Parts: sequence; C-alpha cells; structure tokens
Amino acid sequence: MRFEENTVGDVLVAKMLDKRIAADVAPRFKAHLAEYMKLGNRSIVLDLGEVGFIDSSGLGALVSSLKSMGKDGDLVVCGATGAVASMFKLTRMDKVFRMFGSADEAVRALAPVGQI
Amino acid sequence: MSRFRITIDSNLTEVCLVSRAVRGICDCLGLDAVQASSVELCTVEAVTNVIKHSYLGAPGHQVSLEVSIKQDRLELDVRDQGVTMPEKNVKQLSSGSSVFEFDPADLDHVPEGGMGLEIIRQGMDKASYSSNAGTNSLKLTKFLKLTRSHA
Repeated sequence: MRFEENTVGDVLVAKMLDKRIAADVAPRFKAHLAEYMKLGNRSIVLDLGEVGFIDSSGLGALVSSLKSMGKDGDLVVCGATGAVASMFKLTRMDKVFRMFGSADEAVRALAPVGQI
Repeated sequence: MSRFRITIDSNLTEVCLVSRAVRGICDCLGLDAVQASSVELCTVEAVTNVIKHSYLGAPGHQVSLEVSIKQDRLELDVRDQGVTMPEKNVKQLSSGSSVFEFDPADLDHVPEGGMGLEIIRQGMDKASYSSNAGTNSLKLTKFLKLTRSHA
C-alpha cells in the first residue's frame, strides 16, 4: 500500500497512490490510517485523486478510521471523482465525511488562519 | 448469446481479477462509465460476500462467475458451494434494507459493514438468489440500453 505524505502546518496530506481500495487491502488501509493517528496527527487530509475504485469494505475501513479519530480531530477526503465519488454518494457517506475538490482546498479548511 | 465462466479461488486478493474482467466486458458492451463502474462494483460486492460469508474467509474453494451476454441484457451469475445466505439477507436483496438511512451526524451509528447487498440491489436492474443441491447462485442482471445486433 503506497502513500505520498506531505505536511502543511499541522495538517497531514496523505495521497493514496494505489488505484483500488477493496476488501483485500481494507485492513492494511485502516492500519495505515491508525498509524498516522498514533503518530499524533489530528488533522488528516486523505487524497483519493489517484484511486479509481473503492468497495464497501474500503469505505467501511474509512468510516472506522473516522470513528477512531473522534470529535477532537479531522479526517477529511479530497480528490474523489468518478466511481469513488459515486460510491460516497450512493452510500450517503458524502454526508458523513467532509469532502473537498483538492488537497489545497482541504488544507485551507483545516489549517488555523495564519498557519499556511 | 455469448457465455463464459471465470473461476477464482476464494481469496480476496483474487477478486481484482473478476473485477477487471467484468469492467472490460462492460466497456466492450458499450455501457457508459457510470453503468460500467456500477456493474463492476456490484460484482465485487457479490464475490467478496461469497468469500467472507459463504466460505467464512477461507481460501481453497471455488467462486465462479458465469457471464451471459444476451441481446438486451448482461447476466452475471456468482456461484459457490459454501454456506447459504440467511433468509433475512435474501429478503433484503429484493425488498431493500435501511442500511443507508442513518443520521450522518450520529457517527456511532454510521455503518462500517453490511452495505454490500444494498449496493447490489440499487446498482443492478435485477438481483436474485437461489440455492440448489449445494450450489448457491446470486444472479445479477443489467439491461442493455443499446440492442446488440450481433448477440
């Protein structure tokens, strides 16, 4: 499972480089996000711009991660298009996750004024 | 009519093979990207359900996908010889479930699983389940908008 990570102020932008998030990788995907949180990241932007397919197991892992983050942190999604965006809409998870068009947009929303 | 079968081992890492094959078939049949993605997703959900629930996650069993391409429809029949789907799930497949009727603000009750059958029900034109002589069959149908002249 490959990610590209960038930090902007206190915001971690994690861009997933794999094309698919399905049941075979969902546990590793969830563990990877848990590791980010364990390292103290409380504002995470997950960039799904390169992902072309996500199934309900992948989405379930993401929901579980959001629950783990709790109310004192942010886990938001950016870059979802096509089948991935449709999946969020079909399952109404687009109402659960804060979703942004680009990583820049997401970072601006999460970072305190003056930090970026 | 064209018909062929894809058989994989009951291993989640193999599901990608079925997924990509079905996507290719949909593209060849002229389904638009939205419909092709939907059929691909429904197939993945069906095959994943078989591996997780019929075979309880154990590899070493066969999952078959029989593909039938007819003039007006694409039929995908997912077959296994594992545990039969519970009656309440079979009922959900035809009458729907409330899995997506959650309150988005109530995070504790947002589902992490149990979404596959509802995704299939909404994504396909028909979905029916049967079990006969030890073989379970989940038949998914997508009607083709364009009538295929060479079918």
